[in-house]
Amino acid sequence: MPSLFSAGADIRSMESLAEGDSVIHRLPPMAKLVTTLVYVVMVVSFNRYNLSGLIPYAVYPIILISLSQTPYNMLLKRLVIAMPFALFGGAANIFFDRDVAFTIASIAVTYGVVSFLSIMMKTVLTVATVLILISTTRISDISDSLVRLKVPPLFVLSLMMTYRYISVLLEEAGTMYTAYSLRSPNVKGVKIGDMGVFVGQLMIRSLDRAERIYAAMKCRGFNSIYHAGDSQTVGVRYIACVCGALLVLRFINLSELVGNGVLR
Amino acid sequence: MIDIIDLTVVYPDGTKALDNINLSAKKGERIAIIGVNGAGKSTLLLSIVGVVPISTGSIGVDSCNVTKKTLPEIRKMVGMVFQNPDDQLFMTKVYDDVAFAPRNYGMTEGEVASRVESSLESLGITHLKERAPHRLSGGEKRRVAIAGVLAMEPSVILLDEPTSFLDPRSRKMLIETLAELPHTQIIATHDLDMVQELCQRVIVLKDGVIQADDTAEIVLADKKMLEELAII
Repeated sequence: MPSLFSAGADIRSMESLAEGDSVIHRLPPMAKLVTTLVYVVMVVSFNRYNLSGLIPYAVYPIILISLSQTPYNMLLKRLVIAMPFALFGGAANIFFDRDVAFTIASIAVTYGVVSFLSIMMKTVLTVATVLILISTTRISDISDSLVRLKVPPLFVLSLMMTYRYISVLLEEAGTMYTAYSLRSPNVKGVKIGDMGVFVGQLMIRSLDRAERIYAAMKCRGFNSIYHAGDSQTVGVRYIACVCGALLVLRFINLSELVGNGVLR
Repeated sequence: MIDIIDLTVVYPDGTKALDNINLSAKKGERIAIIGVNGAGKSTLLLSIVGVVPISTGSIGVDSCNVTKKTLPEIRKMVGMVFQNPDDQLFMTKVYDDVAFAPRNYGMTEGEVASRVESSLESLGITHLKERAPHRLSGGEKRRVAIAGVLAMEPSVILLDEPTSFLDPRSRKMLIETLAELPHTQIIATHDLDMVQELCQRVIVLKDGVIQADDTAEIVLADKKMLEELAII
């Protein structure tokens, strides 16, 4: 349960990072969003046995991290949260795909191991890049860019409100937990027997709050449409350069070229 | 400005929240509505902006009756500041939150910007415009919530417990701000000191019925009545 408080602090720390002032922070949000989307699509599109092709793609997030001065430990902490999902998904391949792909010093490496490593690498690269986007761009700017990319405004509004009210919900849960723990001195966390009431109360409070928020929105003329602000610059040159490089790397296996050159 | 005639509000569970309310507010008047919890203060405010449906009677704002059809127009003329600013400030940036209503009313971005600037400026919070609302102090949140309402350029402002959750300094600043606003204000509150400082007129509610409607001096001096109604 104390993790409720640390989750709140995590959100606040990400928001503080997004307020930074680096070359990456100053890039147009639209450019960052588009390049991140293209990057994710490119990484995911690789064949599951093509590990070497993915390696050059690691350069992009590394450049972003160094230029934006995003703390490595913050990224690693969040990457660790995402890894178990990839780990379980990828581990199954090791058992089912046992054909030998190649041998290194008489150790046979199966296609299952290759695809496992490829899944892990894809997860690290895509999650890291999305995290960098969030830690260098304000959520309001990302939302505005999404609307301009013709994502349904209602979806963007829901996304924004979910993000906004996660912290409010965490605060509410935190307050309830503090009140609970002060009256249960020898209990660690919330007892299983009380969990139903605890979660139920949290849900009722959330529904009450949702109703009040909706009333407040209606009072200010809300008609189920999200209106984005002023049009921002797009950053066409940045998008063209990064996406061009990503496309080239997608169809030319740089690792193989370099490897063959060295062997020759 | 506002004319409420024989207003009765009955909730779906049968509770009579307001019973035969008659009240009118003139331009520029500041009226306090006081009463114990559950007296019907918030319901009265919410019925003026059409959030709570009217059972019988009528509410008129500038000779426009509150009906389902006229709600957009009414809500443009009457701004409501909710008790908890966290219920009102949901955008991720102060600027966008204050711009929320003007954008909903289809204004151009230039018009939106000028409205946002002028309402932030009138409350002395221009420096907050790039900040995230949920990371502001209680007093700042309240000011942003009021700015969000001022951006609609309403002629009437309804405030539900505006001084709750505020420390003494923020409370004082808020009272000074409200005193400077030229709008008609209807304020539901428990804060009698604020009422004394700010309001010319006081309406006392009990169980949805008006018990007294007079100048602040007269109502606040009637300690016996206030004690009987459990207000002090």
